Amino acid sequence: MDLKTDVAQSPVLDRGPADVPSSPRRKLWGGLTIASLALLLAMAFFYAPEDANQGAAQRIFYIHVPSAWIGFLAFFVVFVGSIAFLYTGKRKWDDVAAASAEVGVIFTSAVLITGPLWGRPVWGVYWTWDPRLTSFLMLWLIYLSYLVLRGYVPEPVRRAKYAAVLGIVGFLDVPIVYLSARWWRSEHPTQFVVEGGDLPTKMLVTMLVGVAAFTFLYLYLLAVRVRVGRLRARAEEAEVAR
Amino acid sequence: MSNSTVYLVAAYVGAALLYGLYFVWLRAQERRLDGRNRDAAR
Repeated sequence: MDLKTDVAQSPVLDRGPADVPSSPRRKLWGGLTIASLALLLAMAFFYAPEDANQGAAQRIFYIHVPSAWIGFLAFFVVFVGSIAFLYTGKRKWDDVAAASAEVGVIFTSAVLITGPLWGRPVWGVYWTWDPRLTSFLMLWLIYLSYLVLRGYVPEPVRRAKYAAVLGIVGFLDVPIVYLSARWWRSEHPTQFVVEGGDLPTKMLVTMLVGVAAFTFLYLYLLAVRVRVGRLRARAEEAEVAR
Repeated sequence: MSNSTVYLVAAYVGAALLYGLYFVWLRAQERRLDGRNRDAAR
């Protein structure tokens, strides 16, 4: 494995501008995102019934839960991309991991915005140091530090290696977040969709539409972010060559 | 509008702003870098 060859010498300067192409499926993901998000909004407000105990605030879950799941998916992609990079030394894996980490931080930020706005009317507080909430905040901080690390290491090979290690180790927090509600006393609602639970069918269907919509949004944002990363690398190489 | 509805609207608007602004920021970077690379290739 020769990481230096692949990461440090990306010979993009020899190619024309068209050599940083968009993903062929990007338009498809974009179209599906708009259509499914519109459907989700309609279902969340007009199809799903109002929860008798939580009232209107329960509808926050149709964006909160899918954002959390897709955040986990994004960090899983960082985990896989980081392992693949360390194993193969191919730059494309580092590009995907870096892009997925940034998009994942956006999704988990959405969770940290919508969660407290559900907590205030239902629990009476915006935030409590509950195991699920605390481990989730740690997850967000880990991947925020992953992005900060990438910004502070100028040398591409070292940057990619350090980030890959953090991307792998950081993913260990995902199962901790998921299982925290079982391991410790947590006030946070558990994984009611995965475990069957007693969620009414209309709520379950709306939640699944939300998961699909946010999956398309993730794929679209990932495709754009990967291209931005490659364009940035190309611009940096052009600067060095001058 | 009930108290609960205010939080509901705030959550949807907050999430839409976050995802929307991130998308706009990404596309702006993409356009700027496309232009810069085109100039460099000339």
